[in-house]
Amino acid sequence: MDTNKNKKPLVEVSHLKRYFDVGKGQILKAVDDVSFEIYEGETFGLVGESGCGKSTLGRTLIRLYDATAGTATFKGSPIHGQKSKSEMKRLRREIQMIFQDPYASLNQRMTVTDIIAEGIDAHGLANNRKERLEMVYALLDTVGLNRSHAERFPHEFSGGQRQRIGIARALAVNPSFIIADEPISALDVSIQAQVVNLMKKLQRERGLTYLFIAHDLSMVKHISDRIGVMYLGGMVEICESDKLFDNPLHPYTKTLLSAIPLPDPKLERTRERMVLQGDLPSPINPPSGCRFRTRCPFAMEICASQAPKWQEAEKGHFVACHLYEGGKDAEAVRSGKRQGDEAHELV
Amino acid sequence: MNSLLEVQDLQVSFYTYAGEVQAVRDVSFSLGKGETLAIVGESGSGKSVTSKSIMRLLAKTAKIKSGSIRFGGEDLVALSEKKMQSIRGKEIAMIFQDPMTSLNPTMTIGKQIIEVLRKHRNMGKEESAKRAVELLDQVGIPHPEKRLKQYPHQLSGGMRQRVVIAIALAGEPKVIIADEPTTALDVTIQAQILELMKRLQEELDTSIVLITHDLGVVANMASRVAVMYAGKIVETGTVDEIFYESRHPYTWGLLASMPKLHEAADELLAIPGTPPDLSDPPKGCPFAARCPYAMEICYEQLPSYTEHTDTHRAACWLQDPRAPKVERPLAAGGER
Amino acid sequence: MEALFRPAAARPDEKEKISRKSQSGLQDSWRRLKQNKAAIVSLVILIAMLLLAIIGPWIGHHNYYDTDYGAVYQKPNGEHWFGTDKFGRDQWARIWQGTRISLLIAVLAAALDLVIGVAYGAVSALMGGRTDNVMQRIIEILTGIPSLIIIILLMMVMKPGIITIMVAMSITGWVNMARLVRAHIMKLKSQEFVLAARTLGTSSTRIIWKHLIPNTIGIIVINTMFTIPSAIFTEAFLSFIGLGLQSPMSSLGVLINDGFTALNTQPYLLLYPSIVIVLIMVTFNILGDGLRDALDPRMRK
Repeated sequence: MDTNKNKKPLVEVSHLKRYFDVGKGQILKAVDDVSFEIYEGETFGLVGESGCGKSTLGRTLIRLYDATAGTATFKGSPIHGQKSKSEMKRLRREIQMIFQDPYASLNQRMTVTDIIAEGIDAHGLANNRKERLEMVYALLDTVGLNRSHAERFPHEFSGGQRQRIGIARALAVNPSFIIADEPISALDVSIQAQVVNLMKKLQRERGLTYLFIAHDLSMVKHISDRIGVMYLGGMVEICESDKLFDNPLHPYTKTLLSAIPLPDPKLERTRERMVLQGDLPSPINPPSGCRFRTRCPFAMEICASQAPKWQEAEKGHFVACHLYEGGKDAEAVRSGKRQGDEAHELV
Repeated sequence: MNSLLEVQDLQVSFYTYAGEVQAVRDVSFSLGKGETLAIVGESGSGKSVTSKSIMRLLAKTAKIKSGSIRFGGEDLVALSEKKMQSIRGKEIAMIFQDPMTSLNPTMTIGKQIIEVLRKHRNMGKEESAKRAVELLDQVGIPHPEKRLKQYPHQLSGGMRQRVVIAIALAGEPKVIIADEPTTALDVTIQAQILELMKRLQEELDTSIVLITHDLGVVANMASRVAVMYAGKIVETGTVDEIFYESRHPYTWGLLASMPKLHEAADELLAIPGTPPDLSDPPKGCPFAARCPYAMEICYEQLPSYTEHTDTHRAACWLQDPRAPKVERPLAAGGER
Repeated sequence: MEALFRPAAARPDEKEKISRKSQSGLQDSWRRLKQNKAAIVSLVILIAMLLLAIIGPWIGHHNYYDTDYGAVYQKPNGEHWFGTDKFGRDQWARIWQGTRISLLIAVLAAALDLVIGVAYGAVSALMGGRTDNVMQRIIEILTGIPSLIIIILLMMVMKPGIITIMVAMSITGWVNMARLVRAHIMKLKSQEFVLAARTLGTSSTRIIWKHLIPNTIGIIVINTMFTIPSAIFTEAFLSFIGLGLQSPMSSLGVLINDGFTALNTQPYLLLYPSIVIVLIMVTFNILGDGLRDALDPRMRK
């Protein structure tokens, strides 16, 4: 999407870090030096497996956590740091979040109306009860629910319906940027499609920008314009959705793609897989140099001593991997000449 | 083909304050030796209840109303609890979804495996310890002797699931029921575990009933598939038949709502609405309210099964000769 | 083509229908409580005891403090339904008056526990960090001191009376509630619906009153259900060892003390107050258990 080059980014993240003190002098580096941009109107997909820090990143961007170091800006002004009451209020209207757990994200003791109207109440967007109710009805309509649902309680709804209530709640304050933290992971497949279609529709109608955090690559590819892949607290690759699947650069991305079972038996029978061995290292004590080297099929000597630089390997395609920094070793591995580890051709 | 396990007209209901919830309605299927039957469905379809019924592990509020589950010449529905205990873990083993909670956190790994070996295989202390190490090795756990003394919390999720599989194999069962075995795992770990299960099945010729909602996993593992919706099996067939020649609109919906990695799609064909409330099941086809091809008769009468091949059958009024011809949509494996 | 095979008209309501009647969480909990036979029986007994405590001293022929030396140590009869003690005082009246006092003390003590405990626990949980740490250490110190000893010391120092007993019991009694409330609120704080409230810009006060407290009331009520019998017992114990209320005031503890001295000759003097106190404590506990199960969202079927 070359049109991105001319746009100003809506969100700019620069060397963002979020560490947690887990006692005994140990630090959990949940987000460790991440930099990227999100452009207005686009959907940026953020993928990775458990422990990669994508959820923490999302929550830091919406200021549920403070940043340990680094900066994140929205429309040019910083998200963290001291803010006046009115500035905070503005931020809270512009950036909203959709959560993962349809059961825990709604207060069991409140009616649907009160849940959806929470933002309306907090910002005084309705002048009286009638107006408030009308706004709630309109939102219910937008997400495909009935007015009769307004007086019911969360436990009476299915997971997909609850997620839609959560979306309605986020829309109530008219945000321009929505961070969706695994919004469909807890839903059935056919319901996932419902919610994703709804989100796409809303994006078209309201010009929303999304940060879509998920671990299901197929769904993320469908909804995203660009995708970022995270591993153990760091961003390892960013590029356009389609390109990522046609030409993944980072070895982790390749194994991730290779691991996804496709709903196509003939393909499944014939494809060769790159199965990742071993387990995820601890984020309290990540491997030296490149985080991924302990499981990387292409690991070289330099990977243990030096962390790879984040660079634009091709136009709009960023990666942090020594294989793309030039050098004899890198060339040998990439062309398959060097022995050592599986370097399969992937389907 | 001789079936190892044969379920006939199974009906299971839950008795709650809202009345009777008919979770499983007239479900029939069979499982042959060495094959993997995948039961696919979404939440509330009844697939988990079906698998628990086979093991007779249902909650007290549930009852098998009628039907039979034939295994090894006996009807499991009629067996006493004592006799079931000699079957569970030995003839039929189960693998659950969450490796965190299916292992006892206060017992060492070794003890949990040895427990099965001593009970079901009557092994002595030394023999069972040796066999436990063999099993851990078979499921791909490095340094198995060390692991015997470790506790579940010291292992990662993937390792734990391997231990769960080792425990399941300890009794040398003929059938393994795997209820969403990889749903709680990361995708790269899932790939490891699926690889492991396929390898073990080849080595040991075990039959597997695989309960899942993930069609990718089905395509990867299954030889035959049964699609469940609202307590009923709506379509059964070989894995190729289901993915490329399916006949039921719900199967089409499922296939179409999965984004394809290797193809671009503009909009996912979602199935609108939600599954019916089974405390008040519709009298006709349960899918009618959400089916884009629903006819009047679909709301009135339950469709009967039409056999397409001797492995492929579906229950849908569209197959009746009087119904209009409907093409399988592209997104569901239709012809271009 | 048969009419039946024509495409059906769309039935949009069917798609998103919820058939079951709407039930709030409270109604659902009440229904579940009703299913617990033991809890309902306990509730009935408790209500009966409460009624008797209120009207008991007025029905019956005598009041609780009149002495009648002509009717000393009488066994239960038509005139004195529960007999008389060594001063000829009517036991029926004394027992229900005693129950009144005991319950009053227990409820007031529990209420004081509640107010202090909830406030302390909530503040500790909401402030977090160092404040929370300090507040928790203070609690640990308090629990290290045997509460019974504190109570006894206080009773010896202060003038005996209802207020004194109440204060003495509450000095250390609130700690339990504080811990429970703190643990629960810490758990709630990280729940997604509270995070959602924060991202929506809801003020902290609103979050406390609309989200945290309504979801903590269950814990508070249940804990109070267990605090009350404990307070009744403590009061009885204090009175039994002579540090609680004094005659002619009657509380269950005083009555048991009196009855104990006449155990060999007039067992009924000990028997009836004992039965009453046991019944009250057991029913509160069973009801408390039942409430805990009924209010637990995970056990909803």
